[in-house]
Amino acid sequence: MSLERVMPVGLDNTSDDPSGRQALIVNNNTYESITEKVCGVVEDPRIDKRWLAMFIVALGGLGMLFSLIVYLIATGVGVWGNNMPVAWGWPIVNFVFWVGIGHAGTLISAILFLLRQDWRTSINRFAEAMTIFAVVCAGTFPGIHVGRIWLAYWLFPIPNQMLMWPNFRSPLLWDVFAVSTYASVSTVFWYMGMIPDIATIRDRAKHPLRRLAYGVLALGWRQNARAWHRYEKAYGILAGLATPLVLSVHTIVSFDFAVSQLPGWHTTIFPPYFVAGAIFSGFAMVVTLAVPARAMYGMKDIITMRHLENMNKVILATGMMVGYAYAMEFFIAWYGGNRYEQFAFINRATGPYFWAYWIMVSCNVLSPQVFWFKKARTSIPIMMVVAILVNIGMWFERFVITVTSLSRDFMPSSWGYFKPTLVDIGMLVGSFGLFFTLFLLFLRFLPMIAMAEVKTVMNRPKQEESAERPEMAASLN
Amino acid sequence: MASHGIELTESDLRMPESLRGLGGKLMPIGAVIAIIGVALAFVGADSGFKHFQFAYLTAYAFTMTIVLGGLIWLLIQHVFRASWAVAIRRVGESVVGLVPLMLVLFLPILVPILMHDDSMYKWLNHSYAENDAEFLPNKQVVYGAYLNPTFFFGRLAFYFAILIFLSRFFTKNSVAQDETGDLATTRKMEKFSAPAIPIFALTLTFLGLDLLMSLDPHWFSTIWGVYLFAGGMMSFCSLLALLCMTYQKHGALKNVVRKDHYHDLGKLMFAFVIFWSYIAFSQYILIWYAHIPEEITFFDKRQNNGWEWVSVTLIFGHFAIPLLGLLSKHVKRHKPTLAFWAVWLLVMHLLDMFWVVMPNFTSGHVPLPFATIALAVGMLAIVVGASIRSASTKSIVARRDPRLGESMAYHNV
Repeated sequence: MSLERVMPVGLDNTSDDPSGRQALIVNNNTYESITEKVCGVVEDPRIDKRWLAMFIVALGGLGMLFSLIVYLIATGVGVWGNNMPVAWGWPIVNFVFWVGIGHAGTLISAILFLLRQDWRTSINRFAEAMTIFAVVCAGTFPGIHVGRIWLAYWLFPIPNQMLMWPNFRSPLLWDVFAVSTYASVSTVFWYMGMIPDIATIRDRAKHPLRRLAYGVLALGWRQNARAWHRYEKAYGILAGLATPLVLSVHTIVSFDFAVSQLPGWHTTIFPPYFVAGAIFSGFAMVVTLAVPARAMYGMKDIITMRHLENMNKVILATGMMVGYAYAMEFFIAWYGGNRYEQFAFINRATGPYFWAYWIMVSCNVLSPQVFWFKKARTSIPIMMVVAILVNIGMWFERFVITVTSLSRDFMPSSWGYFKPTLVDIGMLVGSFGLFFTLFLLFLRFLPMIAMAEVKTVMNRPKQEESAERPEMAASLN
Repeated sequence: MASHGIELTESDLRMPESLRGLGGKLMPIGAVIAIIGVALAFVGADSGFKHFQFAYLTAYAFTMTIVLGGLIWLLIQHVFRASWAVAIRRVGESVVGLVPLMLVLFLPILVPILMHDDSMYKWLNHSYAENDAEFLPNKQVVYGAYLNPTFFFGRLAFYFAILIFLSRFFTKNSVAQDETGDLATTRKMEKFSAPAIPIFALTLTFLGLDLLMSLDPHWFSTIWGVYLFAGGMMSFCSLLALLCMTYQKHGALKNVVRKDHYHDLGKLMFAFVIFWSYIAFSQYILIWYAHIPEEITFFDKRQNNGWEWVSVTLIFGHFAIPLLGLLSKHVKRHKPTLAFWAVWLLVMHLLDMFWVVMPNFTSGHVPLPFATIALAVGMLAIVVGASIRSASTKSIVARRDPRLGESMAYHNV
């Protein structure tokens, strides 16, 4: 816990003056005003027109996704562009893309918690929510990719009379475990963190039905010291458990590619490189969502410019890591002297998919470089553009990895060129519909800011602090 | 809290005579142990100059990764504007500032190579590249453009120039602030630390590639730089914890360094035990699983002829045992137990470097490790001694850092 936030500021808390720590919550907010603001969104009986418009669009996308899934199941996977040699097409690209997005939330709430980064409190709740919804989108794709979807339960090693087991040596099976573990732990983490805030909404609820609904969700939470003590303990333990999960999920996803012998897929840096890329895309998505959300709900003094600036720094850092991995892959392909490996990389950059490769490099490596400048880090239009570019670039990264390597492997006679079908495109667009439907519902019905946590990092009166820690007050005078 | 209000007594800032004396003693003691190591290299079944070269490279890789682990640790402190470590930063800086010494210690590796000795780096010899022409035609251009003596020496000079510059910049500015108390210095270091990190990352990667990976010119691994970073960070945090304890044992830093600092260092040690294991495992499983000839040679050497026992020791000693050992909060907050694990991890880091370097010397059997151990212990003693000596000339706490107050008062539990 950092000692204090001494610099009283207006709305701008991005000063880098090292003589004190900047306030994280600005605009003279009090405990009460935070509660009013955050609960107000959920309690407002009117329906915001902008919210409704977005919700209808998102529902449309979701409807399209469901119709296309029905069409897919009724017809067969031939409705996709997947065909030899590119047997893994957009469904896998979309899967990896969405799993990657789903990394920021747990990173923010677990790893930044362990690193005592107090600024995470303003953004962790909706980043975690976004994580879970992204994992839902991700899980959809392998589920419908199995072909005979009525046998999708074969993904799990369920004892059966046919003595048939999934192949335990396959990273695809490890994925089933990795993603489902991640989904369940991050859901528990998210929900547990929300209990005190749900209890606050319950206590403020006027309508009995509302009180009942939030009351059930609050699991009988009373804001007493013993409960808080246990809550804090549980939060710490869950953070410790969730931290390796942040790394493991995308590590296993990278194994889907890297354990093979296919040039362009098989390289040892894949696990940490995928993890860095996942965090990169996840933070880009958090910025993409946070900027409009904070404007729409008047939260600019809770999710401040400093929070956005910090996230942009994370985007810059992880973008550089991804750039490092691209460079190492290329360099080692050359250094190793393996002609297939060399071909794979030259083919990526100059072959039939060169445009995808250069979209990936310019969006992921070049565009975040503007964040070296504070002006860019604190400019809303610039950060929105970069965040969206990064989202695009990270989708293309998965496309480049999956499609370029498969389309031209060892035998030129079997080379091909992958083209998506309208169903492919519709499903990608539809998955955004699913994502935004869930996210908009979350904004409307659950507290989008972790009120209880934000209150712990707000300025407190000076005397109160000194009285709490007399030894500190003495040592500092 | 006004950070300017902190009053540390003079004794908090100055190094006690006894510690200064210890620093002075450690250097000649280290030199003697190292000389014994040199002698040991010429004894026994594998005796000879080549044994000395490989043993020395192992010891050097061990020490250098620790010093460079310190450099990246320092850069990370600045870029995060971290306050917790301000109280122990000067102790860390005294190690980081030793990059020039590491250049001097590099000479025994460099001089024979300059004299056309190719017993370590086989590719220095033209005929090696020619032998490759048939089965690795595409590697010829690599020998021509990259793995050749001229460019190799040029690169080494470049790496050391960068590393010396970085270590000087951050140690000098920190000391300068002791006098001026200028907040702009803090900003300057913060600002420069951000671009310094990618510069450092590339330097470490290519230094590791040139000095260690190219020992086997056919083998390659894109994760190599990350692997060395992980081991280096873990070992530096261990050394820093031991150094702080040594300082305190001699009465220094009494009112400055608290259990919370050890706890945080212990957490970093724990985190990097796991991170190293994660990186090592990633490298292993991908190469083992794909099992393609140009990569598998690395693990093939290390899974046969006795090397399998070294590998197994690493799995337990560098991962499983310290993972359990460092898990508890009490272990990290209790000096003797933390010291035990710090020493343990340093030993494991040495074993790791032995496992990296030595199979290139004798893949048919595991050579007796005594020469390597003596050289590594000697070199580490010289480095620790030199760091204490260099710290004795200035304040042992970054006394006018604006975040010192936070560092001295934060709580961890």
